[in-house]
Amino acid sequence: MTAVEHEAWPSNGADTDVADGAGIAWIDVCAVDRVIPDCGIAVLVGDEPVAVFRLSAFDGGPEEWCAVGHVDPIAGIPVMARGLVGTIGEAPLVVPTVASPLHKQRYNLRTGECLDDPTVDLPTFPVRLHTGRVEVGAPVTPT
Amino acid sequence: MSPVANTSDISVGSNGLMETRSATVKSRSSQRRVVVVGNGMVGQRFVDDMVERADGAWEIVVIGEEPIGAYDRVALSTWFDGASDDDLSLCDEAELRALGVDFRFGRRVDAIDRDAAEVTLDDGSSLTFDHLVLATGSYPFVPPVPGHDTAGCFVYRTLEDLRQIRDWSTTDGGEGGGESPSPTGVVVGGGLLGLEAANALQNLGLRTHVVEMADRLMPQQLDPAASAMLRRWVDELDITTHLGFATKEIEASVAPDGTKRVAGLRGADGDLIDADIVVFSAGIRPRHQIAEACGLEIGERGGVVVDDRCTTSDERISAIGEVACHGGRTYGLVGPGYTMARVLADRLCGGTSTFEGADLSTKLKLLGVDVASFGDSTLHDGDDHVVFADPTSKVHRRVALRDGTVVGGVLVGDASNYEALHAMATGSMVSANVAALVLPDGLSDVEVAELPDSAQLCSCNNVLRGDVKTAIGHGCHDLASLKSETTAGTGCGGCMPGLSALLTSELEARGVAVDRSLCSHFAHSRQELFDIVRFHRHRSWTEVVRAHGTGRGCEICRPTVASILSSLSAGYVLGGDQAGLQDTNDRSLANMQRNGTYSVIPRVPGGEITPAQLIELGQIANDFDLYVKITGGQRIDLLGAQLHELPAIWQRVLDAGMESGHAYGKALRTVKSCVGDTWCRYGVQDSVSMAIEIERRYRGLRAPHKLKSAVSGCTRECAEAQSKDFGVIATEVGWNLYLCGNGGRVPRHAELFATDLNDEELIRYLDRFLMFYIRTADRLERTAPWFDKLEGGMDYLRSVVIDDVLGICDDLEADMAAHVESYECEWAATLADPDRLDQFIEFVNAPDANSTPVWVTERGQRVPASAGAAR
Ligand SMILES: Cc1cc2nc3c(=O)[nH]c(=O)nc-3n(C[C@H](O)[C@H](O)[C@H](O)COP(=O)(O)OP(=O)(O)OC[C@H]3O[C@@H](n4cnc5c(N)ncnc54)[C@H](O)[C@@H]3O)c2cc1C
Ligand code: SF4
Repeated sequence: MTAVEHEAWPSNGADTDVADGAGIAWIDVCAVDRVIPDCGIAVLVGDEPVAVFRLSAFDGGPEEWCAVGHVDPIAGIPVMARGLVGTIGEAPLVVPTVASPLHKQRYNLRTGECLDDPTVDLPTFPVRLHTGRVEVGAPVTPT
Repeated sequence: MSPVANTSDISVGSNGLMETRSATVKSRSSQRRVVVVGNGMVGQRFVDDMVERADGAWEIVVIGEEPIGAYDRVALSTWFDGASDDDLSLCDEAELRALGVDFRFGRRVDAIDRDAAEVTLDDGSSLTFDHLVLATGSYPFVPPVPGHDTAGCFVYRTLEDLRQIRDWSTTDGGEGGGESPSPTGVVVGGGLLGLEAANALQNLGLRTHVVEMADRLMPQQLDPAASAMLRRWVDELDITTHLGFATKEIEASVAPDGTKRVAGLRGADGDLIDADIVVFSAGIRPRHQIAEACGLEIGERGGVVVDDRCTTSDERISAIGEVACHGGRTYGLVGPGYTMARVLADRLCGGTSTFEGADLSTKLKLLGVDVASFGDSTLHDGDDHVVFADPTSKVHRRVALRDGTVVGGVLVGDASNYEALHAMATGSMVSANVAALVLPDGLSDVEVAELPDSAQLCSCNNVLRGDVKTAIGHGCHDLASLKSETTAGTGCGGCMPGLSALLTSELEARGVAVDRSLCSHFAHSRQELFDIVRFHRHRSWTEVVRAHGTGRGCEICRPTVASILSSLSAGYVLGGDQAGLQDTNDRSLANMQRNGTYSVIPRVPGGEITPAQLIELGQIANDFDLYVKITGGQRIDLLGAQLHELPAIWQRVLDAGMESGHAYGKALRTVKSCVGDTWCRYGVQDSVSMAIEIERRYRGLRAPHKLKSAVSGCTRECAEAQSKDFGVIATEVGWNLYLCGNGGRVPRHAELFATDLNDEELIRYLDRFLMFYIRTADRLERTAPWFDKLEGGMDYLRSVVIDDVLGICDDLEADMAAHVESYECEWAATLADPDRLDQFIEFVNAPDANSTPVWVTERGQRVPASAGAAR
């Protein structure tokens, strides 16, 4: 599996506006190869549990990386990285999803929106690949 | 469920908790209070309807005598097949409490003071009401014969009754591995509920008798000929029937310490039937006592008299369900009660709907037999009858015509066309083609699609065909949404086939393609996909989705393909690109629990375990502080393991000589066994060795759904093999094989497939049967529903598996041989590979950090704190 390397991977739509690096601290979480395609892993960004997903390429598109909160917002339990990934929608509007392993609600991995329950969502985080490493962005609060 | 807090402090206005709770809904002053007495099926339906409609205008207080919230009494007997209290529950207590409903369980209303508009509870407290709803149901009538209250006499109405019946009959040797011959149970009353109770006793392993005073079974519903046909079914179940038997006395035996217990029933003519347990099921009586005591009008034959609004003789008091007497009659069925609940909720919310009586037509499965009666089912002189009666298939179908119009009838053994005949009897469909309709299933069938819209489709909830069509028109294009929108099919479930047929025909009529495809990524059914994967010898998800699917798949197709690949022995379930396909449980090789921790269930083949292994499991549980529970399948469940602890725990399990139990997968679970002829005095074969052989052979076999099995050492059937996907019962000369049963929510008896097989034949047929099922079943389809769809039923299955009419048996056996060959313990494979162990690190960038679930201690063991909160 060849991982496309980018200086700043604009993964999560919600965060692209700050992805220029200004308000973001990039935290190295692991090697790219540590993440099995179409599986999630959990990492700690500060003390916040974050789920990082590597979505394999299909239909000639690129591989995609997403990061969302690891805590299931309905149950309050840190399990999202252990959910099953999938896609919904038809080309070209294909959206990657993850289903909570507890009660199977699906979330849009790009926006964090819950597709089955509009009252909850997951926070999203920018991800980028840098020299073979995966980095997750954490917002820096200016002091 | 724990008792409700604050029950001692419930006089009006003094309950701070209540104040705040209702304040979140609407300010207290503008709210009126409705007090519901009784939290049975109908009382609960009323609460649900109110919560949906009242919009906070009413404060709802529910007083229920039983210790838990409402449960499905109609499905009560499934409790004996393993349905838990939770499975049966109809009361979403936590959610309703959050919405402001105040439940007080384990409390009884003892008196009503109409002047003060106040009820008094059994703890002496009182509670005022603006409106009072009586939903107190019925109690079972116990004939006042001498000895009727001897220890060992029971009734059959509540979960508590069932618990007592089970405890009494099992402490008496029913489960003791055959130490004493099975005890005898006698049911007094051969009506609908009596037969259901008899079936339950029979399933508990008792020798069962039914005594009925009338000259036939179900005298209320069935005419003599139909009843005689039902009798054949009952005889076949080895239940002994005594008709025309008037119980004169319950005889007791007296132990040396003076305690008495049931010994038998003495009939009016002096006959004695020995009995270790007696269950009275001699009819029900409305529980109208508190209404009577406060002067409300009571019907001639009991019940609180109500008008079309369900209002009693006091405007502020209503009665619904079995306790209500409407138009001079009470209804012992849940359907009319549900209608009353809906009418009353509508009224209290300003509506004007009315209850105009209901008809007593029913269609149900009794002892696994279809029994239905509709319209006027009694025999009248001058009516014409169209009758189909076939003693070999034990089917009796009679339809009565008056002046050429269907007026009623009874169906035993086969209730097909019930909907159409019922529609004709109630006047919503013109009587035509009656002779054809009377023929049983298969010989003729009027499609539900051809019924008029006014025909009733679901009798439990009185849902009409037109209601279902409207819902389909509003976009309910699958059964789940159709059920929740219309409530059809949420009662006994008998109407599901009709519902699904109507859905298909309506969608086809609307030009909506009826999609049998797995999901949006594969245009194939599971069966087609299985054949494709097998034919092309695909070995990975990527190959399958590239060649036959689109996109990246989803949570439906990914695990399905994983299961197919695994059934076709493509190796380790987490190998290749398969890890990302697996459901969470398969991925972690453990079952995720409510708080994100996992359960560990090692395989204990046949339920046989050495003391050393047992000690080590206990030691592991101690060391990791795991909660321990014995499962229904003769294994030991260790709960509460965190992700990062799983490898260490499993290493110790493997070191103790055990292996993965696949409790996390859709795969073979357990093969239960009794001790068999090694120990048991009754045993005729070595059931343990056979169970172990079967479990070892099929362990790890991935299937569309979980598979359970059992082997009993003789026909006493202590291992309950007939409730399994495949069950084996020893005979003097070999093994009887039963197929396609299950426990759970909708239990099914397995059916006899073949008798007196030798060891080799047994395994050969099992190989073929299992692979045939795995190849052809739908996703998540258990063996019973799969079997139901096989045209030709058991005969067809025999022709495939024994006579090989499809010519596929060699393939099936080869596929199974490949599975047996390639089996490896998934945990052993995982522990042997450091890369795979990485999966069990919780936070990849902080291997030493782990989230900490919140625990509490319950009965000396550690359980999730969230469980306590939910109660
Ligand atoms: C084994 C069995 C099988 C059945 N099968 C079918 C079937 O196939 N189809 C069908 O239509 N019907 C069936 N029925 C009947 C059906 O269950 C009843 O019609 C239905 O439960 C009636 O509901 P209800 O709320 O009126 O009464 P119930 O469900 O009996 O509820 C009344 C509740 O009120 C409580 N209560 C009574 N007095 C007081 C008081 N003073 N204070 C507080 N609480 C009180 C009782 O403890 C009880 O919990 C079956 C019944 C049984 C027992
Ligand atoms: S052999 Fe098995 S089934 Fe038969 S009585 Fe003994 S324990 Fe029960």
